[in-house]
Amino acid sequence: MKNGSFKTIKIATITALIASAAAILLVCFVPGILISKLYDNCRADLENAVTATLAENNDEAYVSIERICERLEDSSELLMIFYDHNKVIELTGSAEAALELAKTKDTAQLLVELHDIEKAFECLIHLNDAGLYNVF
Amino acid sequence: MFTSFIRTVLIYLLVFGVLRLMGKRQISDMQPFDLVITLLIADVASVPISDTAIPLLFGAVPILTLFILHRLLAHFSLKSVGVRKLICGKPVLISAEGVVDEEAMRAANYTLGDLTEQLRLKDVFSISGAKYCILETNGSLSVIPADQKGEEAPSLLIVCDGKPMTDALSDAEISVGSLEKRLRTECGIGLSECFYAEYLPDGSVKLQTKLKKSSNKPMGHTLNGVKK
Repeated sequence: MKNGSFKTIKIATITALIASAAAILLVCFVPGILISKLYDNCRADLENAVTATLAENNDEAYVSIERICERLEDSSELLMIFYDHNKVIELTGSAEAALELAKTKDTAQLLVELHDIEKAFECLIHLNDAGLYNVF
Repeated sequence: MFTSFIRTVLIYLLVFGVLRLMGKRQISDMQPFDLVITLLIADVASVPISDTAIPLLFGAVPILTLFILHRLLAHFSLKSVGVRKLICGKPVLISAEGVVDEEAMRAANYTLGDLTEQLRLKDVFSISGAKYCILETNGSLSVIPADQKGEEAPSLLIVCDGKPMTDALSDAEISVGSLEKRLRTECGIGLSECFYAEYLPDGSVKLQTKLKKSSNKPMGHTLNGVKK
């Protein structure tokens, strides 16, 4: 084997190492940023939906939840690249159920679903924390 | 099912590329850390293949992390003898001149059954039929049969990558100072310029100089009658 071949392997290994490190760094931060941004975008509507439901203004709650559903629909495919598909489906499922409940004006159940949406968001956000509870 | 097919192809290509870049020893003579990483890669790779609800990245990221770790460990074990000893351990002389070292066997958790089995695999059918048995760091046993002509005893690696191997030097009864002096006077090089030197059973030392940027050819030398 000529020395040139060893050099090629060395260059390939170094390139692969740099590419791997870059990919890992990207994957470490992108999912967290994505979900936090989505939650920030949905939070006002979520709070608005809760307030409207408590005031028994189901029409306003419906409009807010519809906006949440649209945002989730737009982002769900991207989220599924980084998160367990079941967890993403749980989040979108809760939003869709809340929309149906707002339509049928089931206030008590709607509040439970809105709470579930918030918890599903928090769960996905906390998955990115490098805390002891996640490491061990 | 088509998703599974695509995922399997992607994971296969990733694992194949990573194993290829990890080097040939990943496939044959594995050190403990090589074995651990290979087992982990195999396990991690199977998760996203079997469960399509799990993102492919859940398999790819650990594989790439293991690849980086492996390369770092390999790099440090290449650069430092201490790290190499810590990660790979060191070969154990199980039997010398036909005498089995009980203590060494106990320390290596090596039974007489293991020894006789390994000897049989090397076509040596009795313990006394082996002059030297060395348990290598990858778990294999190197044997010099008692009736073999030429090799009286295994050679000792006394200089490795410019660094003196103190254990081997003391076994060969050579002091670092005397070796360095002979290297300077007879070969015109310092210890740090010596790539490797091995002490042969006939009392001579064979060595090779390190590659220099100015000349691309390493030089071989022989020192005769090297002792304290």
